[in-house]
Amino acid sequence: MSHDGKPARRRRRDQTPDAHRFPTRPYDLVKEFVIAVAVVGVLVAVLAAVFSSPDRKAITLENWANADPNDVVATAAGELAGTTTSAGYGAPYNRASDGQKLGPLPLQRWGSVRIPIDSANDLVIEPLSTVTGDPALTLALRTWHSASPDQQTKWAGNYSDALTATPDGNPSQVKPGDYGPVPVLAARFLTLARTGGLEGLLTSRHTFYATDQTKPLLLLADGAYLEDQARADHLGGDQWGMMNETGNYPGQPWMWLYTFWYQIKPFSTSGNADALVWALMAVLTLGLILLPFIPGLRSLPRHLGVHRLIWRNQTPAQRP
Amino acid sequence: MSSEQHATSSWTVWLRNHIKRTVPEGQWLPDRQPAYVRSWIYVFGVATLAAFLFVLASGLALAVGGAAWWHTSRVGHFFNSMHLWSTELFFVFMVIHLWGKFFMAAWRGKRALTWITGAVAFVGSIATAFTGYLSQTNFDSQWISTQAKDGLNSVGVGALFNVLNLGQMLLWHIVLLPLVVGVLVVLHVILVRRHGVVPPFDAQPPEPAALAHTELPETAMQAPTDGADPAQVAR
Amino acid sequence: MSTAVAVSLINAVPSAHGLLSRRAYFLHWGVVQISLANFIIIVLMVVLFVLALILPFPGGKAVKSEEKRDEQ
Repeated sequence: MSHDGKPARRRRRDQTPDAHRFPTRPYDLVKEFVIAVAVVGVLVAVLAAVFSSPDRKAITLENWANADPNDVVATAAGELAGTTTSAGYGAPYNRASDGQKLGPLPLQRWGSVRIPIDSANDLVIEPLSTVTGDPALTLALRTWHSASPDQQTKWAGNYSDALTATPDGNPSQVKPGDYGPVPVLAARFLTLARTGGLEGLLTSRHTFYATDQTKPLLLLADGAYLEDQARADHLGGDQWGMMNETGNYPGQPWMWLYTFWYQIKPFSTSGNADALVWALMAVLTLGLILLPFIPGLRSLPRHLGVHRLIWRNQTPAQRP
Repeated sequence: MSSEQHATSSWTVWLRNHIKRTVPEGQWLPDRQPAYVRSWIYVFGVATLAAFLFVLASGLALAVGGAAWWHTSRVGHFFNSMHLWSTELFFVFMVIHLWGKFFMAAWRGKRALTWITGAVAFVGSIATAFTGYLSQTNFDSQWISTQAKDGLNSVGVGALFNVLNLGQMLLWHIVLLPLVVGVLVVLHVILVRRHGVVPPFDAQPPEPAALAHTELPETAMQAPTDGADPAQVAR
Repeated sequence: MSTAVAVSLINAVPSAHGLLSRRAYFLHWGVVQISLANFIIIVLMVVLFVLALILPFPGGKAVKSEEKRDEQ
């Protein structure tokens, strides 16, 4: 008996014998490896030839402007009003909000603003400022710049609300109101997007080489069109989208547990869902990695008995 | 001078001895294996390895033409398809391998580190596949990046690992993460060679005196063990 | 929770060439939604696993009773 009175065997160290002391039989590892490579190789080639791979073209800002112009106008107005997702995001783009918390820990804010982006100026005003030969636009920009931030927000907020009040966000159906230069700015932004040059203005205007698509992606994601397209393909977060692929292709079945939590409460209704799910999955992943050290869990395989199928052809001396 | 006498002064000798001790003599590429290794479940490790090689090879082919090659070239698109399907097979085989190893409690007998390197390689593979999706330069990349950024930003790491930055994600995908996974896989396989395949629960090798033929005498069973002892982590 | 499994056809935007580019099929069961493709893969994995456990593995009969130093 051990000193605490429990049966001694519970506290005994792992007595699994050395595998090298067991009877052996011939086995050709190299041949096995070559066969595996050949079989898998044929499988990969056949699957690739028969099923190919998906390549749904990227949505350019020009595509977006032509497919859903009202959405572009509404997004531009929202950026100017500070009401878009990126404008109110918080770290790492700005300080507009604290962002998500894990319990009391403001992890998102702790990440700090390392990719500073002023949605109104960086995504809308700056690109518009490059346009020449448009007196109405030049005047609108001057009016915008000479107004106070509060006035700017008021104009843009009014216009955003007015767009929402129309049947399908159509700018031509907006009721008269106090919108300042915003309608002109938003309309010219749509024109700019239609030229096909907006990505370049957002990514490589000052650098020539564009390798960072942060700004155009934030802009695109601020609109509704990207998400509409994604949801049509069942790629939305509440559609188990993390597991899916465009078309009928297999996606990422191994993401099943990560995306599962987003489908159920409390995660599905929480503003901190991302932080909560991430933390939960981090704990579970750690549990998987450290499984050999977790009492109870590490004894599960013995009791489940599946091993009896694997080792059913052992000689009597080797069988338990 | 003996190895031991050299050891204190020669780093080379130390390293050579260390390598020799890592795997028992004759076990780097043995032509025999324990008789209890006799089930189809055991082929999924090597199947995973084979799929991994095709992932790497098709990735190399894609690198030859560059990041956007596969959008405009049929040959490039075919290599992209091989890259996709070898990755799907890689995960299929790896997960089945994991299931098998779980049900065998394959961490027993100082094999905790074998399990750990495998599990971390699994997680690393997911990260590698994820950055692969981001590197596609198509609609998938746009959607996945704008969604995934929320998860990473919510815990404060989104600026260090900016999924919207193709230049960064592509390099993580083709350089940093495959290196991490590759190193883990190499360590994993070395550990398997070092410890050998885990024996069945409660199995005991026959006494050395009594052997020479296939019929083995009964030996007394020891009390069942309770899985790996944390103190027995392999070197 | 409903036990009926509904199969819904989504007319997705055609992506690329290939057999799998057109309509996407999804299975619904309560809160679970899974694409047919993913479902097939998971089922195949379970089938492969079960087969691996129950199918006999061809094995040599020559069993050596002691560990041999095999590397030449």
